[in-house]
Amino acid sequence: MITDNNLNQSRAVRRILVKHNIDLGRLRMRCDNGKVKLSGALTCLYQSSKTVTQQTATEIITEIKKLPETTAVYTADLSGWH
Amino acid sequence: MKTILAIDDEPMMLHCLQTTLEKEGYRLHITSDPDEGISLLQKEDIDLIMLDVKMPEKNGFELYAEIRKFSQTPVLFVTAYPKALTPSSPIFKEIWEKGFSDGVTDIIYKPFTIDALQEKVSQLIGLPDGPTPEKQ
Repeated sequence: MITDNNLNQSRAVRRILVKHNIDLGRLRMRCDNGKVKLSGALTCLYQSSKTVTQQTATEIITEIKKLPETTAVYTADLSGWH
Repeated sequence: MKTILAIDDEPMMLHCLQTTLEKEGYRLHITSDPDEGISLLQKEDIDLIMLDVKMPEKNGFELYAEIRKFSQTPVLFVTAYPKALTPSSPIFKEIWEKGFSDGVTDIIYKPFTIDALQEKVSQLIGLPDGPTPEKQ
């Protein structure tokens, strides 16, 4: 069941991803009762001046973990960063 | 029941979106005319707008900018051209910085799976009969 909290959390996660220029079309994201699941490709937009390094990926996950609604972040099969 | 407005110049894509999402329980308005889409948005209670990027008369970015002047309804861009979504395009850069940072704008690339479509839609507006998210 998707609740208001899930939707608020998914908005907040999207804001973090956009801040890091992440291509939302290549990433799958699901927020469910505080758990955030990311899969697909964690890459920047085409011709973005930024690239996704291990440090960027860590920063993104840390920021998602800091959201008040977040209880856990799962990153199954997340590709595209190096 | 949540209502979705899909604007795309490809009738087959509109049919596919309508069939898939109505089966899920959403109500769909579909149109290939951007101006009719704006008019529907002003008349109807729409929960999500699905916008094609490449359309002949008015592209999805121009339409998005027009919509954001009067509505904060969540938007899902649907495109087969990921390269159109680049910060080196001035219009997209502006939309990305001002629009996407609202957290209620997302992207799905064609071709997509039904699973991926359902996930994008439900993460933006919830399930068809679930609570309506607060308007921003």
